Amino acid sequence: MNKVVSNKYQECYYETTLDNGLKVVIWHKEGYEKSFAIMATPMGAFDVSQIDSKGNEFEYHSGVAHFLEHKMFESRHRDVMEDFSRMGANVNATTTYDMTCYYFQTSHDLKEPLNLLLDFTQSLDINEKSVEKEKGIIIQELNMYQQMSDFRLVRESFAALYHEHPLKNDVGGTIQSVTETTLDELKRCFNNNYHPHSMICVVVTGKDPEEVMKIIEENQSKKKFASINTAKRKYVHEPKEVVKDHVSFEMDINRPKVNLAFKLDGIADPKERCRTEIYLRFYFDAWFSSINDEYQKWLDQKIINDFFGYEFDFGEDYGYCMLYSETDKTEEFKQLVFDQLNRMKNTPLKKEVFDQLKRRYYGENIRELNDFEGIAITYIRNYFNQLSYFEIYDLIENVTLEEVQKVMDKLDLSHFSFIECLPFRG
Amino acid sequence: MIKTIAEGVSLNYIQSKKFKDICISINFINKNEEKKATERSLLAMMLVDRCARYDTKKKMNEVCDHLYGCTLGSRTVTYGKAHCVEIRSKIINPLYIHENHNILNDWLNFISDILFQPLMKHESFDADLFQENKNILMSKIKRKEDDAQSYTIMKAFEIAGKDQPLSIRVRGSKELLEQLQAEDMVSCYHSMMKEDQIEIIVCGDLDENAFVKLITQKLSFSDRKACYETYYLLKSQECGISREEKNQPQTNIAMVYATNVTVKDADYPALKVANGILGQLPSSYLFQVVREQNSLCYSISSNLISYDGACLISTGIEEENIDKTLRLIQEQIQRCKQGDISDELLETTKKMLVGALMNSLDEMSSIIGYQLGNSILKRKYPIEENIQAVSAVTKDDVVRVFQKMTHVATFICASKEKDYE
Repeated sequence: MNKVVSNKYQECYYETTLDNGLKVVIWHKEGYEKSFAIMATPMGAFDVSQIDSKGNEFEYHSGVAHFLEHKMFESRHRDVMEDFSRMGANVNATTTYDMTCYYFQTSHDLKEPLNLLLDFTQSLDINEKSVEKEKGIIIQELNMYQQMSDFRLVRESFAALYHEHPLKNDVGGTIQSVTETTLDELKRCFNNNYHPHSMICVVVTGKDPEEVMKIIEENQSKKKFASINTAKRKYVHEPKEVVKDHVSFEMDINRPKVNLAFKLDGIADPKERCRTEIYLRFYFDAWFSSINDEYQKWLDQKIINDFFGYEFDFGEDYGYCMLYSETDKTEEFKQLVFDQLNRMKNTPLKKEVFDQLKRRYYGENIRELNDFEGIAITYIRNYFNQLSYFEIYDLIENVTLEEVQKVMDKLDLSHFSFIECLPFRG
Repeated sequence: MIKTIAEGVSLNYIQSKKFKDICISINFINKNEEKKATERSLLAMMLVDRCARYDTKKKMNEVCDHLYGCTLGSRTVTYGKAHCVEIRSKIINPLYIHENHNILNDWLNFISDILFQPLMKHESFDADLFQENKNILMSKIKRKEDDAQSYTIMKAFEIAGKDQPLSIRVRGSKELLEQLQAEDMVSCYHSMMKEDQIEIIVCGDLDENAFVKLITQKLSFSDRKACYETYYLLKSQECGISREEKNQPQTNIAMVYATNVTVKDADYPALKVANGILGQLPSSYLFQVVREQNSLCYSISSNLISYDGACLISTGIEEENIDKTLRLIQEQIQRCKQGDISDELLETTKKMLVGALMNSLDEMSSIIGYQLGNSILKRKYPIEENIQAVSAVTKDDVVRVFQKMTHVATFICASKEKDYE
């Protein structure tokens, strides 16, 4: 068990890889009663097409990772959710584009629910009938998101940007893809992606780390896993061009919501990806938040309101940035964003703004260490990207203005789509 | 440590070594009336937006970032008959700062500026500040209505809580907001500063005496005679089922029940357990029967609106399943009233609720929220005592509170078209 101590942040964690390949991390939070434990696989909604080391290819329906997440809780012998409740633990799961996580939190005893977490994420016990039954629940979940205008705005934006990339579909898939998903497909998906080799277990806890590690080791040593050829995401060719440069749709809302979404190149190297996201954040915060004096004018002129925001994300094979707001002045909004981006690209970042933001990000990082779930998720995300936890913290602390400024040279904003969610007419 | 720093103003300091930051939560409590709620929601936003010393957002940002990205926010909450404006700020503990900089002093000066020196000229709020925040508050209110689930719940509260505080939206009303003038805000501000009951809660790892002294010095509130009522019981009057149609893919349902148990009632722990059995947890009847056994919904829950003596059940389903869903929900309540509750379910629910209480000792916002609840209810009720009370609840207690529950109103916002996918 490798011990990692940060004196600067006053944190400590232990990490190891078990014989069966499972990566285990125990983050020790002294003085706390509660524990948060999570099991994660890098299989997410991106994985609709996979290839294993022998070259076998697997095709899945869109949303299969999310469907599987729902079905993992099933067992003929027990009701997993009820058992967690009986132990006094809150269990939940999340599927994103790049991973699926199962987690629980408890302030009671940790041993029993931790064993249950390890057990239910390492076996699949489903049948034809239970798969069919789940479809109705998942379709209601899709409908619930469909009625949210902010969710729809992002959804339609991805659909407008991507021809082939799985981002074009919702994490949960479509009503059709859910309806067509089969028992065999779910089983295959489980076998290919839930082997200990692929997974990571993180426990953030006030309990004795060695005791916790012992629970996990004992649990794992009793199990046998068939050797498999780990399947990896198969990347598709995505044209640089967008599908549609303008999309407009209507919903039962009071005021239009708009999004200007840019399609960017993916970044293969994980460190480079992470650096780019940090550098871009400096620029976007400097130009599109109230640090910029003009921000007040945009508000006063009602071109933006408190809904205004921006985000960007990069993966190996995709990249995007989007700026959105709620506004009646949709054309002015579009113009404003283009003007600002143009100025941003051609103006060096000011030293005083850079220093100011660095202080802000330092404080944010410190505060993040209060959050058990945040620590676990950040650890996992970094791990899947081959980065260590405090590497990012150090990166932000040691970054120079010159490095940040270089990021603008690479930002190609020539492929974009404008998406409008409008109130029903008439 | 609880200290009265002026009559009607108390400071509650909670020492804890668990967290990396220090939080201050300043709560202004007054009557919950529609006009007041509207004005105070707007004022809460204006105060943290800009102030006399830092009269632009840019300057506000600069001072926050100088304090390592200290957070500053405001929100409004209702506690039954009382309306609360909360100003909250968090700063990292000076332990993590490696420069010679008295950030605590600067931080409290900043908070004092925000509260005592708002952006006013000649006894009137800055016109742009007023107009901008009025626009934004209007957007927030309308956006809430755009959300089908929130809209359904608001309508259900409006019907069930007619002429009672439950019907008042925490952000107030669009119509009243439209009519507000900048002058209204001046009287609202003075009333809040001079007449409100104020509860200040601080949590973190500091030299307690020195910090309490510093706060007392920086936040010099005047004495006030403040005593506002909070909890009440929603009237048990049957208002039936109302229905509206909207162009959306899902049908939303909200049902309001009167609990006839106040938050200070001896039966309140039993009510919490009853709510856990009915619909707060994955083990609850609503989740197990409506979702797991009948696949009718993705989410379904029951929640206590404790200070109003109400219980809310909400879910999202297909339009064609309305009758079946309503019937199943009613059946679950009926079986609880009749005592169809296994010992195992009772124990599971209690364990989950105890776990949540224990967990709240490990989260700063929960610690602060719990203390605020105690201050508002004017009681000393440590979490340990609360845990004991929940643990002692019996099946008879639970059945008794179920029998007190009566249906008040159901609101259905039905899906009109089926052209979504």
